[in-house]
Amino acid sequence: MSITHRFGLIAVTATLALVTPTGVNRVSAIEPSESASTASARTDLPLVPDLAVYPGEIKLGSSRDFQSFVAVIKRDDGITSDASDRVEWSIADVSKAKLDGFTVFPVADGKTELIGKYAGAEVRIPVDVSGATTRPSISFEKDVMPVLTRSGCNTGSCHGAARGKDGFRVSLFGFDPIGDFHRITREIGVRRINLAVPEESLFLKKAIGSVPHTGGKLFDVSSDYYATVLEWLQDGAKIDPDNAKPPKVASVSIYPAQAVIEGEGKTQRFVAVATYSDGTTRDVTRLAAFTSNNSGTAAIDDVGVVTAGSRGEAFVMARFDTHTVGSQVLALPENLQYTPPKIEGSYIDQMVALKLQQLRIVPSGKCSDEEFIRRATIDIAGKLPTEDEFRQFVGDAAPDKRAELIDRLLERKEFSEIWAMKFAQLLMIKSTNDVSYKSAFLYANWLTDKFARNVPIDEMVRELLTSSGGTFTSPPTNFFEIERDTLKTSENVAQVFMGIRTQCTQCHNHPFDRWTMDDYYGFASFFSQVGRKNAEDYRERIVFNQFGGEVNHLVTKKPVPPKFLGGESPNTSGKDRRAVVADWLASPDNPYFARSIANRVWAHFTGVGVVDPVDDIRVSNPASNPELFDELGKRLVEYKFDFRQLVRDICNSDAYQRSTASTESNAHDHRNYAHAEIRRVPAESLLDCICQVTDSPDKFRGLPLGARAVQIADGTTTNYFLTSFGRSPRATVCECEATTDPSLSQALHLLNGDSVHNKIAQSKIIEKWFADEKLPAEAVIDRIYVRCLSRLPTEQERTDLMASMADDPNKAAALQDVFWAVLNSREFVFNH
Amino acid sequence: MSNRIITIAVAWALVSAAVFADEAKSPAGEKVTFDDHVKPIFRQHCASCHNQGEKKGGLALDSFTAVMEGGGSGEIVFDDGDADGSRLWQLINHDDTPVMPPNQDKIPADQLSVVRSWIEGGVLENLGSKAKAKKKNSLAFVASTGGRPEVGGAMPESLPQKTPVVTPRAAAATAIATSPWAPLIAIAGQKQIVMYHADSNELLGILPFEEGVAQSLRFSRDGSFLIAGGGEHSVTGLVAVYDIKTGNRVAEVGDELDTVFGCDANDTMTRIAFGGPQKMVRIYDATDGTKLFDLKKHTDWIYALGYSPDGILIASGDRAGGLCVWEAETGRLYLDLLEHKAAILSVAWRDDSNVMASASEDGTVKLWDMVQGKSIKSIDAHGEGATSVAFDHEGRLVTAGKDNRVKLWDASGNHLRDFEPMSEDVLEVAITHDGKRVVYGDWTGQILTAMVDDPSKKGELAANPPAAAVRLETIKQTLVSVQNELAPLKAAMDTSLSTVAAAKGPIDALNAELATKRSESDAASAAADAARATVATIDGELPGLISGSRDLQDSMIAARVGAQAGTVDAATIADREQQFADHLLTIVNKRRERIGSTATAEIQATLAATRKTEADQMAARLPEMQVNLDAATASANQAREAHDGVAKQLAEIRTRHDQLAAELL
Repeated sequence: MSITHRFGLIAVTATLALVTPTGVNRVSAIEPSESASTASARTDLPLVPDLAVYPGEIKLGSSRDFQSFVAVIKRDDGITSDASDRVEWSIADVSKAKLDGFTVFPVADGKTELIGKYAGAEVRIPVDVSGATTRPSISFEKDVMPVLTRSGCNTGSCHGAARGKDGFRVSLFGFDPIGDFHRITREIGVRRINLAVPEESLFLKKAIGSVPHTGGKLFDVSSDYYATVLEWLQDGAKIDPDNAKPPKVASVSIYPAQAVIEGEGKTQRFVAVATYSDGTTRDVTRLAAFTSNNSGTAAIDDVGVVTAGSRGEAFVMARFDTHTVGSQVLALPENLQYTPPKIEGSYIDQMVALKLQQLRIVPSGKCSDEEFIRRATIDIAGKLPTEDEFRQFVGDAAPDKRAELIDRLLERKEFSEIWAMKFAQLLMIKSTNDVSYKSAFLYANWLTDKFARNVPIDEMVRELLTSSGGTFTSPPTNFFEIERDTLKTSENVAQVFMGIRTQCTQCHNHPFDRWTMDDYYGFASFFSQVGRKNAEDYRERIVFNQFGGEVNHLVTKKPVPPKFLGGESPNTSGKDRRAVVADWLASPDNPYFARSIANRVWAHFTGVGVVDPVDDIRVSNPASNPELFDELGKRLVEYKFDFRQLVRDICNSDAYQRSTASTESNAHDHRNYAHAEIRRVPAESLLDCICQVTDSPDKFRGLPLGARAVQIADGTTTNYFLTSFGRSPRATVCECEATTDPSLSQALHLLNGDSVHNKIAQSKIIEKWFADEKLPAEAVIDRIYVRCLSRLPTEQERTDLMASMADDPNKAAALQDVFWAVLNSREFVFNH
Repeated sequence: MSNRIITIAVAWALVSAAVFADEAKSPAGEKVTFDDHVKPIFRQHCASCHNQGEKKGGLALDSFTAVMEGGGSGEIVFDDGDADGSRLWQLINHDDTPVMPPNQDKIPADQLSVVRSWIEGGVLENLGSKAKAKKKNSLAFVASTGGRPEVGGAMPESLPQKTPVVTPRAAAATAIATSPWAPLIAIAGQKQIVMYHADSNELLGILPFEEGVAQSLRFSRDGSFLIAGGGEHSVTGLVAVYDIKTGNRVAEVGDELDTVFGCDANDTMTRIAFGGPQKMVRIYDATDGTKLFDLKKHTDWIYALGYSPDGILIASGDRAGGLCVWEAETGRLYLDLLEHKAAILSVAWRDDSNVMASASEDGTVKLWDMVQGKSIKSIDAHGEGATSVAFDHEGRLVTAGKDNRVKLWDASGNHLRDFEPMSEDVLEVAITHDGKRVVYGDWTGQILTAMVDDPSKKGELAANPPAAAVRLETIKQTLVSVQNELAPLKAAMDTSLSTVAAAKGPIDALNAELATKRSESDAASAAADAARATVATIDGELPGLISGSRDLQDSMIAARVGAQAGTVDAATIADREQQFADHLLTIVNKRRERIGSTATAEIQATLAATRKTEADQMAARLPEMQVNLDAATASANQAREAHDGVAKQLAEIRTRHDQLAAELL
């Protein structure tokens, strides 16, 4: 049997510990933790706990250094608990290191081990001590800056604000240490520090609250933070010399990587470790800023102790330097009765089920055929199933009729039109003062054509980003016309095609993600050489690569060489930088592109992205199901960026086909696809559906009568219905531009506005059925129901409706009222 | 003359301000109030006429308000605690007429004393009333109206010597000031202001500044007082005034919630203005510590402030680059100077009050004309920010900046000289009263003085002087070393004195001998002269004698003839012969005497000549010997001077030592 090694965890097998009770325990690293629960389900083994100690190795590099550690025991059912105080700790060679509580301190250079024993399990963590006799002086960048960040001095609400606070400004989250150094020591040389009497430095006195401070007391005189800053001041408040800059933080880890805490109020200690570019490590538990994205479920305090709250899932994060890392924390009630359902089905269903199992959630059952055909048709084609389609599907006895329906729908042109529209929104295609209607129209047609011809999205993006030429002759060049600002262009590319929001990092390092200002300007450099000039037609512009032009870094005021986001700096000399970045962006190896696109697709069909919002993918906004998130991206790459395939996978999954009815255990969950979400039909599709069921087409600018709202090319073309129902104004690239939030004007418009009433009046459908075809009222009602709601009315509904119109002499008018009532029902405007 | 009158008036005001009593307490220890104590007395003795119905003389004494209102002749009592000045008191105490109550006995003494203590207690209405704050500064100083004092600027006489806080290093220089009329430098340190002699760099004393760190130091116009503004950052701020001679703190004003960055007093030392992070220019009455104006205009921390030398204007500069000039008397804005682009760190006024200079973090030092109200010169003084500016009496400017430099400019703003750069941002600069030295300090806390004419001649001053005991020890060592230094000097002086004596001996001997020779020569020539005179006398007598002898011979012959003739007896002949013989003998003697005298004259003349020659020869040897003597004397004088100098130094050191030692006891 083997145990887990993941995120640096070292554990020891229980069996081995028993076989060689006095011998050296073998340490083995093994496969991912998902297997742990299944593996430990074996009941024939003696109950030796599954003990893990973090971090997996301890390096102490100076006499100042120390490292705290934590022990976690994982039960068979996956529940973990903090075992630090139950474990018996020792150091193999006490001449090398010593213990104080759950912290190892160096004694002398050499190697030894930290040994933890508990109930038959034993874990040995290598401890490597070096430089035990050296005491490096306090570094401003490495030691003092983290104290500022940790204490919250440089947050946006305090001195990190753009204009500072109470006359003192530092860089937000410390993106500019050299500037901060000057501001602290030199900006008002006589005020903030006092080198004659370092304890009298205002800088320190404010922090310990011994003088009035708007920010209050941040730390104690007895704290190590105080000691660090004081020692720095006593040493003369020096900056790290240019030739001896401290190493950069290469990575930060938070341990344990996952905690499943049972019982409200139980705690789990976390340890944060930074690894520097020179390979040294540092315990940053006391320096990192801890946050929780759901503190009702898992509140984390400033020393990394998580306290479980109400049932649910949370992500606790440690931010240190420019790095943010997180661990998943699940909080479960004690003694929860739960029988895990079988994990089966497609990859999607397996992954969703695994996650639901972790959360002890039982998913809802499958939706009915009626629900399915309506849901799939709206989602895939943006229309309602016709009566024929409905009857045919419901009447079909074939077991794979749902898959067949999906295939049929995917072949329809409406599918590509929906996606063309979605991307048109993201690309902000609309006519403006700068972009002529003709340009916008050509641009939209180009996009629709790409989707209609099923051009792989990577190819399309490549063509878009590298486009050159006139905005008429080469419509994708409009991408560079609609947004002409270099920085915004690069922000838009990152947000639309990678789901990454880099806007923050224009002015400071991203507070909740890994992106730095260097990353920002490095990425922006790819778009700094786009040239524009007028064409013959005054409405047309020509976009070209001018092989020159740079973007200056806001702090250094110097150009930054092009650098992929989170990647290397390619050689762009003599090349169109856009081509270089487009190749990288749309490459199958790009870690962001496929996942981001796949996530958008997923969100379209389930209502909630695996990462949500879909265009805010960042460390501190983790995927609710990271495996699924990765897998969807991988699949999209495998399908050569043909996302019809991906849609097929999604729509065929149980996760998509679940009923919207919730169960007791999944009612409060909206992120893990335990039940289907009820979604308002998007504005364009809703209008199309109304037109479809009333058989009364609309007329939009530039399109023939009967064209659908989805086909509108120019974002400025709209009508009252579309606007009030949240059509995307296409002002920014944010996915949130198109909303489905309810509003009073929507309700009033449906009730009293011309869209529904006039269309019913114009349609003559009721007259046709009732007067021409002489259908009985019941049949007409049935048809209205099928047409609008893809179901037959219930007996009760039918009886009530008939009763309500029994006295009405004008049956046709009464039936129109029924039609109107159905269109005004919530069931109609929602996809369920 | 008018100056003197003003001075006297000010002095009087100060003295009277000093006369203040505490809140009066009745013997039982409670406050004396109108309602409880005074009203019954008035009711008993006065209210029958002075009630609000009758109001004789327009005065009613039956309510507090009415009492405070006064009567037909004005207010009768003031809340300043001055009983003797109160009309009420004067009349009831029968100091003035009409005495009250009229036609009756004086109010009994115990009741009078109640009324008096009520007035001195600040005329409280009831137990809830509070006396007006007692005037804080019992200022007893007399300030001149500016300009150079007749006797020169004040120098410290008995400053405290203790070091309030001893630190191994200094903090960034916060303030440096120089006396306008004396070689005196003040440097702000930790809870102290260190005073140095500008010429000798000698530490003269340390003024304690308990409240924290002084951020601004200014000397009064006459150099008699030091105005120090500062405090503890984010906690307290105030301005204190010190007497230069004694080091006594004679006044303090302000009660800020943050430190004071800029402060100054007017020319007459009656008002003090200051500003700080609270963005308000505040003007206080220096004599009683009351606030006169709160000037709200600056949008950011006030960093610098200065009164014009004539006391008419106040300039204040802030962190956002705002620069305002105020009318000192009224607190009205006179000029709003909007040209600086960054924080203003220092302002200074030219002696004539017509030009003000401002140093800004934008790198410029601008000169402003107060009459035209505009900038007349903008000097790009220090690229990385100008931190400090000061004028000397000739209108020259010294500036300091964040380029680590100190620069000197002429009155028109032309660059004259650079001083040697420091290792960090130079934050403060000042120029001494004679314009010969600049004093500057940087971020590291190093303070230098350099000669204006030769910037390489530098001295260092410490803003963090060692503890008095350590300094005493140093002085002791100096004393010993000076003593050691003095010993050889004394020996050298003694040696050279003896050399002088040795050189002088032979000259004296020679001179004595010379004198003998000369007197001998003189005696000989006198003798020769006498002999010659005798000869001459004899020569004069001889013809007579000879003719006489002939007469006697003739008479003897006649007698002999007569004898022959017998007419004459032999006795007569004998007599005649005797006479003749005697006479001849006389002649013989004379002639012999003459021969002798002639010889004597010759001999003596020769002798005189000889002696003279000898003397002359001797005298020729004298000058050489004299030169030796002079040389010896000169070196002796030199040795004495050297000795005396060190001896004086020793005496001074001993005085300092004794002072310091006395303070340490």
